[in-house]
Amino acid sequence: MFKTVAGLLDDAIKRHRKQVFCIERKRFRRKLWTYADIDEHADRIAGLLQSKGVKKGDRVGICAPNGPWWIIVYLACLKLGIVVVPIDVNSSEEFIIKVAHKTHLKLLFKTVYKPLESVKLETVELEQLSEILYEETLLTPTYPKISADDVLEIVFTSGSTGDPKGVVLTQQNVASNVQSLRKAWPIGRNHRLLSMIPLSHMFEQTAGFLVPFVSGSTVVYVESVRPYQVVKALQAEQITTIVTVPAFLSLLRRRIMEKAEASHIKPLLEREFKFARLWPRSARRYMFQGLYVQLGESLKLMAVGGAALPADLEAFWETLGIRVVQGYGLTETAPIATYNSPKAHKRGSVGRCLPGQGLRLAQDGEILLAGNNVFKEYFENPTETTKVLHDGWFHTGDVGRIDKHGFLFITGRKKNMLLSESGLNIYPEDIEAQLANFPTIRDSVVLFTEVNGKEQLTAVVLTDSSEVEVAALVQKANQRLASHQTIQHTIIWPETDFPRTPTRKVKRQLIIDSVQGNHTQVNQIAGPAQGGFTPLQQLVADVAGVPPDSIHDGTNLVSDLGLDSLKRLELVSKIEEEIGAFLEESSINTSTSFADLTAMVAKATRSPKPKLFTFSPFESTEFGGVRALLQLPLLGWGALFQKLQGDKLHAPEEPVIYIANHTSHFDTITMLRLLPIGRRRRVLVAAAKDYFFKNRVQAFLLRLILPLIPLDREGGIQESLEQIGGYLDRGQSIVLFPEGTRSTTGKLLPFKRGIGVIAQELEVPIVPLRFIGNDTILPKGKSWPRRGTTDVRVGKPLVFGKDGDYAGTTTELEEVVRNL
Amino acid sequence: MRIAVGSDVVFIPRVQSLVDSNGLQRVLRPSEIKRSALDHIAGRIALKEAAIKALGLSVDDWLRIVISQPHNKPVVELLDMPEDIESIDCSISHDGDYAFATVVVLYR
Repeated sequence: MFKTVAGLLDDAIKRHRKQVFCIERKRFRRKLWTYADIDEHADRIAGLLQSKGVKKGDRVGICAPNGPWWIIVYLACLKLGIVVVPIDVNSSEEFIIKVAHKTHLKLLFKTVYKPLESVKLETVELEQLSEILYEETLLTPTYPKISADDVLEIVFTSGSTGDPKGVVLTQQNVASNVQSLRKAWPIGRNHRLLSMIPLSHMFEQTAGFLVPFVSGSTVVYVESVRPYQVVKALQAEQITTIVTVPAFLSLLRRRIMEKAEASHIKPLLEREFKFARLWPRSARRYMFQGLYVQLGESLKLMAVGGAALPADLEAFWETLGIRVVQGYGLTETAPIATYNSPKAHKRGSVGRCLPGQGLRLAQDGEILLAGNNVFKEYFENPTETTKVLHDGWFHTGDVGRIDKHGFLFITGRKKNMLLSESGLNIYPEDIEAQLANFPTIRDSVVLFTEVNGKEQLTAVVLTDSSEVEVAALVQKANQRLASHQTIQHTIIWPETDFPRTPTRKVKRQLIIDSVQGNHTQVNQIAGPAQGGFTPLQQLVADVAGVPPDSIHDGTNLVSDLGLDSLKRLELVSKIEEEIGAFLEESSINTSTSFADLTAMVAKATRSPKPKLFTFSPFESTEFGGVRALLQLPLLGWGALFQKLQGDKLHAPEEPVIYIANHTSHFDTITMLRLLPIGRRRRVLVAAAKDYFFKNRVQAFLLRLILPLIPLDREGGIQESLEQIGGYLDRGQSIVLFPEGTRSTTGKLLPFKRGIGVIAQELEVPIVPLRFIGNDTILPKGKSWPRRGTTDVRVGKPLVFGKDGDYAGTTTELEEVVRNL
Repeated sequence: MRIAVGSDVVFIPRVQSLVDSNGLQRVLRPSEIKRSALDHIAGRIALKEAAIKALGLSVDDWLRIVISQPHNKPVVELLDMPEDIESIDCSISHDGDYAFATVVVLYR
């Protein structure tokens, strides 16, 4: 048993050093980070922190999207005993300032996409860290001793209004929870997880990062959690496991059903569903194979938490053959308290208490939790702490029952917390407090309801005002709320008062039941036809700065509402954020009406089919091995004519891109002769598609002995970047002739600018080469060589950052080759 | 030879709402933000919009346009530069609440 997270992770790094911990999917490349890479970078960040005078016990914030650098910064702080304050990247500026001020942050690591101009403290941009580490001379860090009671992190609950409450978690709190969860949830090396919910949440930290880290699993980070990127990653990375919130499962189910409906197979699917349940899991997976296109064929397990998982949702995924397990916990319990494991599983339950932790019910049914995982205190808030911590038991505020086998069932949530689709906590009280600012709204209850098949944040209000007036007030309130708190739907409560307890507290559950149960009386008032506005109408009105009732189907977005390019950008971003539909900005033009937009949004919520680049078998390393043997006679024949002199190619660490001048077809033979035989199977030579691949028979024969890949000289650079990036990711090196054609003058032709783009975008070392003499051995236009000598010059590998311009980089490379 | 010009002005405080809606990622790449400040970001957005106008591109092409800063002056390029473009020159200016940019394209 480890008593600290620092000890736990240190041990994991030692055990899995050479293994890949995470895969970072970037625009054209995917980067693999081994445990050793993460550790070494963390040491350097620790050096950076020490040189800035940050020491043990100081507090440092992280406000950035998930990714390897988040992990590295966390690990650096952990090693130094610095208290991490994770802040959700979607938080409002106001919230971030409050937290920074309250905790006296010494430093804030943040994304460049959050300017945070009013935050008066030193910030470091995560995207610039690699450059900073490269440029600055850093201290070699000295690490203090970390003990179990040291504070590891302070996690704040989000919500833009209300005072943020910080949960103080010690090293031992988190370490003990990670180890307990690992016993109940044995994942291992063969697991590949896709990270989806923010690391600022304890659920993602434990189940999505720490447990996989100590188990030697691999985590995949995507640039954005857009459905398109997620689906692409699920397939391309062969994801086995996702850790997410129930709302995501319901979103995914909706997509599948919509697709089924669109292709008229819904009745068939429903019939299949009925008897599928009788079949074994593997047979069901086979039966629904078609649906796995969307999910990637390896997906087997979805772990959900953060909110209650509806039983029918669980049943849906189980029928498809995907195991859904759910747990229960709170930030205060670091975070997982109970877990429904695949082996000990009961539908509708949140599972049994994790080993080594305590669970019991108070007399009134309130769930009480104990164990080393239970938090120390609320940050500088003893009043709140004493309210919930008694004799080592944490009073959760949730109500439940425990069956005779120890399974916990949640029956109500005292705390009423809601969870958005993206995993953000929504506190209805925050939103209700905003609405309470308006005297005409007597009271309100905020909850999720299903409107047209979509979960929408709904305010049920008690008022005497008309719907139009209420809508205007809601719009005003929305302007003061964070984006994930935006009220999307409004219902006016049909009676004169809410149902209440004797102490005048609103009986929230009755209202929720009544609204969610599609109570006809409520529904009549709810429809948009009555004057309520659709979420899209609200959004457009918000961005355009006009009242929502001025927007009709015929309203032209550009000429009537004056949406310029910046506003259109804001609109499509908001639609993506809040409705989950990805639109291209150009879909809104001068002739787009509101009705067009509505149609586009409805269409765009269905997931697009991602295009995966497919490789020809000729391009595999396996065939490369065979080819390296087949080409031996050719190279032997070449050696009869060509004597090599000059530099040897001291094989650099692969993959790299070799660039060389081009005067003859003999250049490819020269290149292959220079490489040690073991490397020849992993090298590919880019050849003009229009020249070498025109004749299919010729291309086939050539590719049997030469490692040619078709590069489209006329095609888009984006495709070429994806193609070459794909080879590099598989560990294959590429040979390019940047002149684009053979030079007949003996002089170096100007390089095509594509090489500058490739050098910068693919972040790969470039090895410059120059061959002198090949044009006398086999000049352009000749078909039989004569004897000669080739002088080979090899330059140092060059790496280009993102600072330079493509043209400048191209010229630089050209100069380097010319001067070899 | 042909010359094309494009210019654009951005009201700096308006960029905040783009930041809040997480829309900045649609316009700028991390490497294009040298300084995480609104005026700088507004200048970069104005520059891209000016380039869209000068090059006759569509509003989806934000990320096809690449801004770098090899020396002190920003440089505008396209990921896939058409052959007929000889050179692109640009300039950004700020005053108070406004950022302004001009792009001049010289065709062969």
